[in-house]
Amino acid sequence: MNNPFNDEEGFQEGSAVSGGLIDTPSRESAEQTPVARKTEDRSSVITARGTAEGLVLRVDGRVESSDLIAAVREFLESRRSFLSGNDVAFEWIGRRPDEGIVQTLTEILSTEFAVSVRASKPKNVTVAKSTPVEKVSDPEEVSGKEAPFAVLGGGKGGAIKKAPSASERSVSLFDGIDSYESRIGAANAMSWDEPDARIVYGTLRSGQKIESEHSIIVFGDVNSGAEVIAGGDVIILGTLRGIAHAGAYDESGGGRVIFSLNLRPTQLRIGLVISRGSGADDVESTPRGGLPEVARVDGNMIVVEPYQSRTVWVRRRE
Amino acid sequence: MSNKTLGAGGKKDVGEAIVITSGKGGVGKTTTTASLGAALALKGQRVLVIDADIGLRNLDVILGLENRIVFNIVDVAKKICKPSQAIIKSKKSNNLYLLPASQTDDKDVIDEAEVRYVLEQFKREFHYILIDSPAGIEQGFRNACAGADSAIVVTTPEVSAIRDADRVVGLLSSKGIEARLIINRIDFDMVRRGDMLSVKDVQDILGIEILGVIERDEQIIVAANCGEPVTYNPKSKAGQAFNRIAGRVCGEQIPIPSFDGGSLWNRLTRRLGVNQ
Repeated sequence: MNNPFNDEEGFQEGSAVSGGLIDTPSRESAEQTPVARKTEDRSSVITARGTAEGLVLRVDGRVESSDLIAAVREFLESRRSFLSGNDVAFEWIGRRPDEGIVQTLTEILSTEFAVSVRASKPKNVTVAKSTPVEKVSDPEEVSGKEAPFAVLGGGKGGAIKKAPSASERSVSLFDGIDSYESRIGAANAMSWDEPDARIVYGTLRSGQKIESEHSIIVFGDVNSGAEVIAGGDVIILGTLRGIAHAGAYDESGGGRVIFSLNLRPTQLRIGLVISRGSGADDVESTPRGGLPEVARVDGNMIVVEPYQSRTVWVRRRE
Repeated sequence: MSNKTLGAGGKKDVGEAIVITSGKGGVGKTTTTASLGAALALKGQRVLVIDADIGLRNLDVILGLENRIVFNIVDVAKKICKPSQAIIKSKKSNNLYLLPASQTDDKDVIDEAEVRYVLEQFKREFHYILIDSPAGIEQGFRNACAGADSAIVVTTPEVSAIRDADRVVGLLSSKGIEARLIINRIDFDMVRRGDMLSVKDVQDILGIEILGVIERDEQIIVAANCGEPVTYNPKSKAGQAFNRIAGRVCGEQIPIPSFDGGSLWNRLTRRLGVNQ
């Protein structure tokens, strides 16, 4: 779900700034009207993201049709095995291209890549079809060349936009976040090879065992005698006193980690590597008592270190 | 683990499997299993303690081994792992091993035939196999008794525990298993005041051989929290009692010290160390 507020009741469809349209940073430079533009960098033309409904391909609709088709083809070619057999939805940045182009893309996807195309959200489509982004109901709201709703400020030197008018407030904020997200998506700063995670609400008590081929997130504690076994990462938003097994179906552990707000495990397992806890259960006797820690495999042993947001994803990208 | 069969130290070619049970919960089966296992190991016997309390395992905690568990009795029974992979050497003794229970299953996952198979895997490797039975007389109890050569019934000097023990003794004898009795948590001061059943009272009701009497001892709780059997504490009366019981299990003739009905003079001299 990229934009939950799109479906809100109070949403005014007629409003010119409304949306489902996502602005890319490059957008803010000069163009005032949705003219077709040449693309220098194909990675920014198309990005993929996972949503609750499934995979969404986010395509810049302002790119020339020939470039657009080539970019889509190139994008899918490199992800053929991951995508084939799945279905995707299109999301258009800037504007929705002519129906003919959409049709062509749909055909290419289904014939060449065995990917079917879901209908995108109606609001997204209708609004995007007819409304140029740049028209603003109240011109004073947006000054000059600034993008209409890049709330977080666009690109270099982009300033944070003034408070939006009531009619656009509900959507523009989230569009801004989307635009930010698409920017890092374009920079390929994030990696998600596995959009699924099993989320557990509640504490796992002795004798309870959760197993998933994906990652597991627990909003609660994992008590002594409980087990969490994940093909991906194990994230415990509470105290881990039991056994956690990350990367359980990969001998090396696949670079998976075990994270806990308070790590006092009976045992940690990542892949085939096993280490046992210190047995100390009081906060004082743990080295970094009570602080978030993350466990990973280093060589053939498990190391535990204080959690720093950067270290985990930097390592996964390598 | 070496593959040698019992050598000079052993009396028999095949080890003896002893189930430790009680009927009632909370009388000290698990503590007895751990302490007696440790005491037998101190005497140079190779001992395996098996936790048959699947789903509510405790023996690993009492022995302080819970963080070393990888495989358990269910894995051995279902042939998921090799028998030698599942047993864990204790921290203090090279002669004492633990076969832990599974915590995530329940009692019905294995049956008596599978327990017999498990015992067969270990009987040639150990002099004594102590099986910690779960409370109750259901499938868990039947599993624990399967393949046992004899039984130790643990009771406390309370009527409820004794009634359950009586029931268990009956069930065991119907299976052809001979039971011996350990009276746990007795308080001789209370016995003298007439507030607690005496050893003789218990023996009169149950009518089986008494293997040992263990006094109420705070050290038991301390030891359990530390994950070290009380046997290793020479100052603990309970520890001494378990060492004597281990001697009797091995066939030594050790009289059961009689604290019952001691006169004031006896008590005084005992306290002064004159009359041991």
